[in-house]
Amino acid sequence: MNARWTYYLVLPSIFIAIWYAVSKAQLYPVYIVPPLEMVIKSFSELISTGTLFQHIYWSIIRVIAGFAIAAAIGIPLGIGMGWSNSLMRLVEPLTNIIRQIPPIAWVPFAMIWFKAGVVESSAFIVCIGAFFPILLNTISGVKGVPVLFIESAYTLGANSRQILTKVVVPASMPNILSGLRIGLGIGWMSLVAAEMMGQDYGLGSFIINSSTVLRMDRVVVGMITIGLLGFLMDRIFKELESSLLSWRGR
Amino acid sequence: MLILNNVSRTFISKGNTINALDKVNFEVKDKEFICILGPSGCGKTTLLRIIAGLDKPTAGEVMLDDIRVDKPGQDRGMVFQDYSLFPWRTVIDNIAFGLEVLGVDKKERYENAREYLKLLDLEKFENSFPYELSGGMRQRIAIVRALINNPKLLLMDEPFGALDAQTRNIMQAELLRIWEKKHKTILFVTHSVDEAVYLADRIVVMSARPGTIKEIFNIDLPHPRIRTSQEANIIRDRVLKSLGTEMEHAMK
Repeated sequence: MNARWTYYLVLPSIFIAIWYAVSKAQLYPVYIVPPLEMVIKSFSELISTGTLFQHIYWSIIRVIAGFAIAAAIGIPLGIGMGWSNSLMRLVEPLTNIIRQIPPIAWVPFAMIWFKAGVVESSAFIVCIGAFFPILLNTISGVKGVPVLFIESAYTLGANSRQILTKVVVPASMPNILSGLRIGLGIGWMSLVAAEMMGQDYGLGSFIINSSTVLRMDRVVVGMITIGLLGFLMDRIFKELESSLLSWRGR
Repeated sequence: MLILNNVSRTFISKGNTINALDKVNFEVKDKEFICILGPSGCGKTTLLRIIAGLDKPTAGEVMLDDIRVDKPGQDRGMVFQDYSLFPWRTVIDNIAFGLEVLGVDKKERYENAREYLKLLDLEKFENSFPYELSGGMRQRIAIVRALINNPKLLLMDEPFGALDAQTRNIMQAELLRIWEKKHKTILFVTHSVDEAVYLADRIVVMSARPGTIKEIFNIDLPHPRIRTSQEANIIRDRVLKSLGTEMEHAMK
């Protein structure tokens, strides 16, 4: 194991050590600080019965669906808003107000509109969370395209449509991709809100259902799983980003 | 032939009217190499942008072979001072851009682009990205990218301004080599008298704001020119004197 990895592990190890010490000393009741061993035990139970994977499966399906819809609307709209001042003036006031509303505030309507369906209602909440970072980053990417590139393309004979597809879109790709990455992260963070509508499966509903029966050890299992999977998705996205944007150099 | 007919351009900024160009009249013959010199803010770049179609004159007109210029077109190529290669495209896709937007198929435009790479002796950088190249290489590629559409006119706005003195000299010789091979009409804006005397058939000295043509120098010396020759020194001296009085105006 190389030195960098040992570095990464310092703080998590200290955290686990303190957690272990606190649970050994039995300073708090188990529903306030669930002991480390109890959490590990629930973890391995949930893995061996396969229940945890079902929760993960449903959560990922919902997040991907919501994220894909957010991207499919956010990227084209963002390009349009960055490119056309009149579209910007038309849409921006509304989006600026809607984006202040947290995804969880949409839960009542999500339940009514989508009848608390297995995927649709949750995907809607995830979509609300993922949409705005994608939209805003795309807009700032398009607005930040250097005039020099656009003028060069015009003098080389490109028409407006070609400027958009061959200059503006590739030039704003770094911002679009970071918008997608942040959007995916926020969409994933909206999971608990998205799965509080009485679903049987999903990491968010697992946390809520466990808390109602005071199984705080299971709540911790759900939290850790969300944290680890979110981290993993972010890493994968980062790799994808740097391979797609290799033209930027190091 | 390029004809500038009473070209004027005023800008309005914070309520003030600025006369950038005032009744510029000038003719450029085919295959001529023109250098435009002048103090900062004399409208050299504005003039070039108007000819390119990136800006419009407030009054007057630009005619290229009897056609009035009013928007950018493939008959006029432009090379900018700042590095303008598209960083997300490889060298060959940068050079082939002008053909790509015309709808030329990939095989043909690559063949064409490779010919230009060969002209520059940069074949082995075909698949490199701009960030992997030196400043001099990037500008040479920007030049052939502008040439691939076979424009009548090549407009160059201080293309070597960002390069160090040594690279600059090499680039000037390289530009002359390309010019002699492709024989284009070139309008070259520069700050450097030395550069202008080395390159141009004619040097146009512009006056301080409002920009207008002050004096035109014919340079009949054959290429390659010796930068330190007696004749070059004499011309340099005359151009510097003409420019010098304008510099004083510009400072006041």
